[in-house]
Amino acid sequence: MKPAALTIQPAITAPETLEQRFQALVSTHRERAVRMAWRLVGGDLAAAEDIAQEAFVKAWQALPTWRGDSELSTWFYRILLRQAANHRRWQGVRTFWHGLMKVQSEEGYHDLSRDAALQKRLAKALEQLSPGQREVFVLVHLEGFTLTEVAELLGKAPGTLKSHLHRALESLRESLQDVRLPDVEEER
Amino acid sequence: MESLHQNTLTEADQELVQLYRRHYSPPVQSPGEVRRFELALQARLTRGARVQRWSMAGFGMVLTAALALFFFRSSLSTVEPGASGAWVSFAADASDILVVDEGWLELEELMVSPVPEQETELLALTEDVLDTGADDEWMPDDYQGLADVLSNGS
Repeated sequence: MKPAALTIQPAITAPETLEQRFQALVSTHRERAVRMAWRLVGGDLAAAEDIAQEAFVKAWQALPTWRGDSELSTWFYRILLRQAANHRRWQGVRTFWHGLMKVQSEEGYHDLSRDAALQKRLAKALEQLSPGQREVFVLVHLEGFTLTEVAELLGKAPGTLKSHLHRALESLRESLQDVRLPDVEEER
Repeated sequence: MESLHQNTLTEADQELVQLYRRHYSPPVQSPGEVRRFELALQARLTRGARVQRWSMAGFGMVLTAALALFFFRSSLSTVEPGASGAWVSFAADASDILVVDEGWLELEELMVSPVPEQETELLALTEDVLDTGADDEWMPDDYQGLADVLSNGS
């Protein structure tokens, strides 16, 4: 089967083909997928784009077997979360290798015009959470998923997620207690 | 994008969340960066499809070779020598025929030009055979005698 071209095709009234469905998935969820991956892997844009692309490739390959028992987006984000978890699992090996090769890696933060120091502090605090706590915090508080959606995405009970969230907030408060931002205001 | 869970947060937690939302996001992608992302994805999809095709073809070839080897080996182990219709038994028969043919050629050669030491015995044996006068009884013994003479002399 030929992979989908990523140009937006005119709407067709006939039943949706796999390619059309995939094009819609990419155009609708690309930005969020990259942002979510970026937040999960500690602010590395190149890694985030790599994870998002790999998740889209896997979604395309598995799309014919998608049974439709959950939302296509939920199914896709499940793939993305797995990719991000895999990336994090190998991050230790990569760091070790970079250390051996004496490569100075900047671990993301390419956008130094932003408040890079603060962003680094936030990333470091997030790094100290367990993988489960970090995932739930990012998905619920930063990406706006509901607990029910996250429970479906991660395959965990809502009670477990609440406990993760509670501990995550506790840990972040402790790590960032010296950070004071008088201009913190409601976003949008 | 406010989640239901947000309502249960304390003021300090809400500040924390806002801090993350404002300062912990990737830079917004420009249209050029979006295009670059889409092209990279397109390249990966094409490469993925090619790899998938090749791996399927490779798998098919390996499977065919494995099946061929399996049937070849099982045909060798199950066909009995002498069974008709199988190439293995045909080959066995052919080699047998070849061996028998070589034996007959050797025997014929000896009969046509026997060595001098055998010649006397052969003549005497022939006379003995002729003297018996019987048709049926002499053949087995004398034939064996002839074979003994030939084998001892060779």
